[in-house]
Amino acid sequence: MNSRDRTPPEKELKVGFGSLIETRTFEVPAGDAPPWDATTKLSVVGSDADRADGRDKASGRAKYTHDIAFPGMLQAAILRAPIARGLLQNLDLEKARSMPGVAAVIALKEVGKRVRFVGDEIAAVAAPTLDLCRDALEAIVAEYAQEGHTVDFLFADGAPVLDEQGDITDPWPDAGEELTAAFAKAKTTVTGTYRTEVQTHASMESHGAVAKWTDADLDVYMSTQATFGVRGELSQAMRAAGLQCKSVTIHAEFVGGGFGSKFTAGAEGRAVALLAHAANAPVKLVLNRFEEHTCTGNRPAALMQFRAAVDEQGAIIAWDQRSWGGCGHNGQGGGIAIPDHLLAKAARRRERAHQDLATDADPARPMRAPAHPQGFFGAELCIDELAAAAGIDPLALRKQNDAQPLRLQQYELGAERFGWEQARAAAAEAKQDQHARYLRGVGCASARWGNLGNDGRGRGDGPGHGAVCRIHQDGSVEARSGAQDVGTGFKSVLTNLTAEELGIRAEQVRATAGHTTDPSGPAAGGSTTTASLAPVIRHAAFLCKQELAKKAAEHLGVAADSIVFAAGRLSAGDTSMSFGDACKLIGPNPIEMRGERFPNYKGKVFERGVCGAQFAEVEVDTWTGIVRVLRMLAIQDCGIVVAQKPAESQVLGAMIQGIGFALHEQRILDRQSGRMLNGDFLRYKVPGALDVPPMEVIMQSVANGHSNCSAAGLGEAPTCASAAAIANAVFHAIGHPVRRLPITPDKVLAALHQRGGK
Amino acid sequence: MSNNKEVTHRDLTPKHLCPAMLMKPLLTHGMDDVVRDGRQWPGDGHYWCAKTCTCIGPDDAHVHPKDCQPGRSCYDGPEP
Repeated sequence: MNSRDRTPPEKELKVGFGSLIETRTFEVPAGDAPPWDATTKLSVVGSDADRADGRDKASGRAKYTHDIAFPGMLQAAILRAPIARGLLQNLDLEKARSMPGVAAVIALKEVGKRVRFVGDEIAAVAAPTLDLCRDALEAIVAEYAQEGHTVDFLFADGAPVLDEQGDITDPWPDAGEELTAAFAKAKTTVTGTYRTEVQTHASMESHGAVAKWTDADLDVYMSTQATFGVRGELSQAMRAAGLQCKSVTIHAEFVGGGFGSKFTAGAEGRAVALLAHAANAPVKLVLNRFEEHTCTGNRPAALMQFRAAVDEQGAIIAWDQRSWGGCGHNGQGGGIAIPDHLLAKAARRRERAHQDLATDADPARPMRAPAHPQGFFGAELCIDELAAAAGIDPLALRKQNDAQPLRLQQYELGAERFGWEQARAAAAEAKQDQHARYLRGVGCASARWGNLGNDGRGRGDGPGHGAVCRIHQDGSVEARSGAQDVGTGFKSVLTNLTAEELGIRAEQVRATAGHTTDPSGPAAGGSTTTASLAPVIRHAAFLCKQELAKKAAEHLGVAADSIVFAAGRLSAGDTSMSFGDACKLIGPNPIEMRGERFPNYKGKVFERGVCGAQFAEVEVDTWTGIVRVLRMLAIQDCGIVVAQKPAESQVLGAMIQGIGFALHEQRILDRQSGRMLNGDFLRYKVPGALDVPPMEVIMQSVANGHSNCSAAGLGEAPTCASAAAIANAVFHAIGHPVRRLPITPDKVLAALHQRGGK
Repeated sequence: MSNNKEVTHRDLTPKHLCPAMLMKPLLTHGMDDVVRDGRQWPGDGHYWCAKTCTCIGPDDAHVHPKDCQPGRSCYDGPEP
């Protein structure tokens, strides 16, 4: 009988955080590790243990895809379309194929098929050197029937008309009786048009793979967010190409970021596998930075219009919105998400008023908290405008309208830690000097995401997610998962949970991730990995612990269930032995257990997702329009914090990405050619060290009660708030909203001009 | 939404979706996650084909759950 088939006993757990802790009842599946709750004392989990792979990364021992090499390995490159729209009329590969040293040349697009953006994949070559690959690409003859194109979504079919200020002039569609009535009784109403630009993922490690065939078995070393997903994808792709493919094994031991762009093997992943087969040799294909910017997806642009209203008491009673997504050629994925938790009292439009607009450009892909940073920027700025118009402090307006108790605490804590009132007052006082060159402003915004993980079974009865724990006779411990660590710190999740359960130090556990020969796990997306796999990692260690306890019990002459694992020892009453000595009892074969991911517990969890709040202070140079972020604070929960340092790092990374989204990043396509004009890190500016201010992160460890360790997803949530908080701070500083990202000097100077004209 | 019923990605997925059509919830095992914004189709609007590894199917048309169903020339699932 599977342990899942047993009747789950009910168990009372203390859930929540701080003063919000309360007792709730959950069905805990039989066989699971005893669940932790808000009262559990933990020593490794939540500690400041170093990142598990920190030394490997800092020392250069970590091997990324680019570092993989095999004897006889070839390099590869892709020929890309120079036109934004048209048909491939002719493709002649023969001259390239006949070049000395060129090992393989393949078509990636058939003659007669459509070209959809500058950079569309046409053909690929493999040769011993990249120089020879480039020469071979030049020898390929590709001819196109070019057609007219549109790369600016504001000129696409279905785009609304904007006035000179960039505001939507089309009348609002009928709002219905309820919403119309709510606006009619409002004290204050604001309406604004907000806009964000295309942001590329800009992962430090570009897309790439090394493919190696052994007969009909394919090994791929790939920078991917989805080891098991791309295994299945490439298996189908190879069979569709007519190749015999008995197995595909993916290796992604180290990944330098993905942010949503690396769920698919991509054209380059398929190409490298086909080239390796054609050349009968290992082949490496790593995209350069221009290809990375232009051909691997992005966060789509957004055009949003909001109108919002408060009543006399400061309740947000009406909210209306419509939006357009500036997508690539597929015309999908451009939706927006807004902070609904602030609008619990508001009448809303019943129908979704959103339209995605297609352009002749690289299609969007999911990007860290898809839809949220765009929508949160616009909506949170609109809420600050509403607060200003109504004469209400914007933080007070949020506290009055936010429906989530945990975030209300976060607002309080943030206001105190950031010195909200003092900083706002000081900024306001400084503005009294009408000749002041530098103005300061303080803003805040909220964050949310909802992922408590899953068991990986869907509605089937399969084994679900897995993880393996091994304890060896020499005292070494392994924790293994086939899921990938994309840089988020998943290996620390493996080490910390295993060490906690076994009562040892995190450094004693060797974590391995990213090989599909190990038990399966989800793709790293939607803040899923830790939430889904932490319980199974802990369960694997729990099962190993029970086995080791049996051996130690025999040696110590005590009952196995009386043994406690803590501080590197196994203790029962007055007797004890070291963990290392206990391991000597194991014998030559390790204790190896595969953990089980039980379904999330039935019961009322504390939160269905995670909450956050962020604060930013900026300085605006009114002569140049340059905005400098002076400091930021984030308060964030992610369930019980499993790995403190990587968790803080995740939030810091989100804040830095938010600075880029707010102030710098913008894909610029030439309307004439359709080509990206800033496809590098010189002209596509991500924040550098001098752009990043002092930033503080306060992680709140919250027991949700949904699994044995209450871990929740973290990757997305902090991304929601950062740009919004900065935009609100700029609004506070200059007294006029900059409703279009990035907030570049020209827009600031225009806003100052508009403010002055009032 | 006009009612309070929680809708999941699975609810929005056509019954005979081509098995070569991929989207993020399939990879994250998030098909039973609740969708909150009134969207009509599963996932976050990003779809691709396992055979081409791009958002264009073998027939040179876009990948989308409304299209990747029986009747499309490259459909690879069991006929209903």
